Amino acid sequence: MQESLEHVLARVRAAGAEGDAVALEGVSTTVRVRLGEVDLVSQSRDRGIGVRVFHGERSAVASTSDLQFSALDELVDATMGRAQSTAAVEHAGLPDVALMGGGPEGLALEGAGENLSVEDAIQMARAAEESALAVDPRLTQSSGAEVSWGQSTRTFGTSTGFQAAYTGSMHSLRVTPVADVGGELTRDSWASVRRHAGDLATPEEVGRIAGERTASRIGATTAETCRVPVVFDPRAAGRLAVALANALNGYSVQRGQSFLKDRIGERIAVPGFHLFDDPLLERGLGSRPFDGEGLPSRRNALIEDGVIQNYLLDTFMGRKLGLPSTHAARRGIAGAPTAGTTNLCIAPGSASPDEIIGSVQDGLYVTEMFGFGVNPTTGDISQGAAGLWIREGRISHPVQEITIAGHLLSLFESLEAIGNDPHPESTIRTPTLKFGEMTVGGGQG
Amino acid sequence: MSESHWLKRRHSLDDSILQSALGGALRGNVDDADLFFESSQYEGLLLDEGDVQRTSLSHREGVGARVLSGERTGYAHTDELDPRRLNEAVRTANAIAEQGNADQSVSLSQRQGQRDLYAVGTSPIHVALTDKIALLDRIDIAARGTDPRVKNVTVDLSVEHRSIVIVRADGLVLHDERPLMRMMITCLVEENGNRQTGRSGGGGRTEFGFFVEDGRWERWVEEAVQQAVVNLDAVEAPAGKMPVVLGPGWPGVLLHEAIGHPLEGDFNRKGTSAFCGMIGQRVATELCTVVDDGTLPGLRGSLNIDDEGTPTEQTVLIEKGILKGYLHDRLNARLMGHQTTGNGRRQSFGHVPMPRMTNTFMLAGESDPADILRSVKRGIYAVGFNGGQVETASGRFVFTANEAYLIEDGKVTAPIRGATLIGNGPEVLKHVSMVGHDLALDEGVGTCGKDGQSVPVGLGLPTVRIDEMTVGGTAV
Repeated sequence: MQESLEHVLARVRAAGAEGDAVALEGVSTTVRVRLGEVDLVSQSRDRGIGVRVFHGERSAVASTSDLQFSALDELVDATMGRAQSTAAVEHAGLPDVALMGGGPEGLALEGAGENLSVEDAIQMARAAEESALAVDPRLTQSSGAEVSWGQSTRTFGTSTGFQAAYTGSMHSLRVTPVADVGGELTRDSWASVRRHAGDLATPEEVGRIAGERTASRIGATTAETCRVPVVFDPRAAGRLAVALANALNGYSVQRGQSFLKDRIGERIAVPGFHLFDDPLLERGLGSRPFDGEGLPSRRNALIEDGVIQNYLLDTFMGRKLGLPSTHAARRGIAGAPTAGTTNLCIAPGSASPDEIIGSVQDGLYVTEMFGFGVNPTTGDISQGAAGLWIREGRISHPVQEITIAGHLLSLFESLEAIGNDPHPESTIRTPTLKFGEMTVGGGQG
Repeated sequence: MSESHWLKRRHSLDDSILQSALGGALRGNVDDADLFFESSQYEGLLLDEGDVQRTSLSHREGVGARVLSGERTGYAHTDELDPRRLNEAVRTANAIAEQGNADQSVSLSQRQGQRDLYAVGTSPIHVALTDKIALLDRIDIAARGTDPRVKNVTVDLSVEHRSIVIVRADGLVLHDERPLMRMMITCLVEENGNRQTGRSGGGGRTEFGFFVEDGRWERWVEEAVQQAVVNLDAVEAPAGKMPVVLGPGWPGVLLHEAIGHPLEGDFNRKGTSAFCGMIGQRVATELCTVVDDGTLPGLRGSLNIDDEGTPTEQTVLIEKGILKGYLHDRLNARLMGHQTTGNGRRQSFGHVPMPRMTNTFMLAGESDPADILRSVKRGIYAVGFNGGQVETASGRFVFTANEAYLIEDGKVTAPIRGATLIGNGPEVLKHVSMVGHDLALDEGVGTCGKDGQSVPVGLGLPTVRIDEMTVGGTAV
């Protein structure tokens, strides 16, 4: 891939232009077992190269999976032509080459000598599914247990002479048991996702958690429409962190499609609330040594003690807003870079999830949120939800077919507790969160 | 018999190589197999702050080899189109089958399509970039001129063209040339520090001129600006159970989530759909007939053949309230002893086919839409939605309104803030008490996600009254 990358960059230079390119090459395998039988074995090989050219302040991007030199030449020539048709945009251009860097060593993104075989994976999936279904006799169906693993190498370079690469691996095990009680189906799933195979939770543990989560939801009913305290489990809390990060994305801010526009330095949440993006977590699922423009990764504080610190910015959006890039460029092979998160984290607090649940007299514990009900322009939120009702500090009964609604600003002003339990097996590492009040919409009353 | 023949022309994959690869896929105890070759081009333009600042072009090609044995699927794909990688993919996919000794020999025969639902003179991918930029520039100027409160306009244009060659187990070689385009206009308005966005757009498998015909883009501009302006005055949405009137067109996302997904054959074969075993039962009032139809010319969800080479058709899902049938691909149809319905679709050659929707809509009824609104004492009228989501096992679905109003004493009154509606698939249509005569299909912007695969789909609905649904507002 390095050869293809260098060929592309040489062609860009020969055309008297500047540019950068990213090449990806990866292999992955997925095995799915359902009710003990093999359902799917799928293997993939993917590769491709993407280029961005700057003709002065005019730019264009293009990508291809055809790596023959003649095809790469055509790609660069066509992209140069397209750049010349595009409007000149102030601030367009590569970052300063002096700022570029391959980033830190020691992120340990790739497991060493981990050759999982299809047979091993089938055994893991079977064990996880068995463990899930053994939790409760009402768990009689399954959407399957799936094991995936693979690795990919990313090579990045610029026409100005910078080049760097890294390889990462990924392993996952997910189980989705289904309860069938008189034709009423209930489903939930649990997964372990890690860079290194050796870090995966055991199939027995993944299965047990998936089974317990599903069983806890059997017989769920709707709720009365009311205003109550709401606790989000770590997975559900992640949706709220993403909503904040989206509103702090420079691209949303610059377009005015953000309720957090022009609020750097303002307090929008209680002290003790910290939101940050950290690409440098060792073995982190979203970790990377450098960003999509070759700038070395660094931890970015977005909200500290409730006060907005900064936006997520790539080079272009930073220049536009008069701020330095936060080295947050996100980039696939197709499409121009944009800003985005890597490992989005809420700093954990000191309370255990049980203590938080114990502090609620009458309220909702959300374990699942669904739908697309966050408006980034206004901050209004209205989502479908499912979870468990809390009475007098204890889990009382499962609920579903309910909505939760509010406004993100008033929500984070009413943040009452932050758990000590951030979810490590995700690119969104959020702990349990408790908020003073939200509107719960239900089918009763 | 020459169309194959970007495969041959560019990659030296001639019929003898395809035939031998198919033979390898069919080795051993195999029920079905196919090779799916694809060459796709994708172009994206983004207008923002008055200029087309970003354009992208991508080209991707490759092959997916699939082998089915009993309930097992073996799949392998590669984006290196040469005989060595093709045969490697075939061997990998075939590893799930109990092994026999010899490759099978099936002779290939080419089949020309019976119809072309998206015949175009010039595929939109080949329209000059400068023409595309010129149109987006016109749209920007028009949108800014519509209302002084418009502070920014973004226009997303995406255009693609896919060339497909499918080699089936019976030796049939099928081709399809698939153009597709989509435009989304987003307007930001601001008044006294209150900012709102509104969106509209459309597209289809058609020629680029579609955007300018019949005043389409001008109407989308008006709709986007109006939606944003209306929301400047939005009040808190109510919370709880109440009557809901859905407007025509895109609100058909209700059917997509509540009915379409749970009727996909895979969930029903595996016993993980809320509709399992309910064929022949009443799941809706007599007013409701719901179909999935992939045969409508030029629509975003339409296909000449699905991604397994089966011609698409109109499939009745619910007829006068009675559940009629499932949406099938070849695997699930075979295992359930049903006929495939031409709904086997995949995102690309890198993905395993699954039962997916095409264009899903409810047939028109007889009510006057104005009478439907007049019939509601207190409820909401929702005409615009973002997206929806369903959990097929429980049947619980949500979809979120981005343009909705209160109905008070039969009159449409204040606009309300975005609210999520939630319901239960097998129940929701039992509360449909009026169906309008104004069936409209959406204008071609829908994308459906399932198991990480995205495919373009269409939606449609006449105005309907649902006597009770849970509305997720903040006003108790």
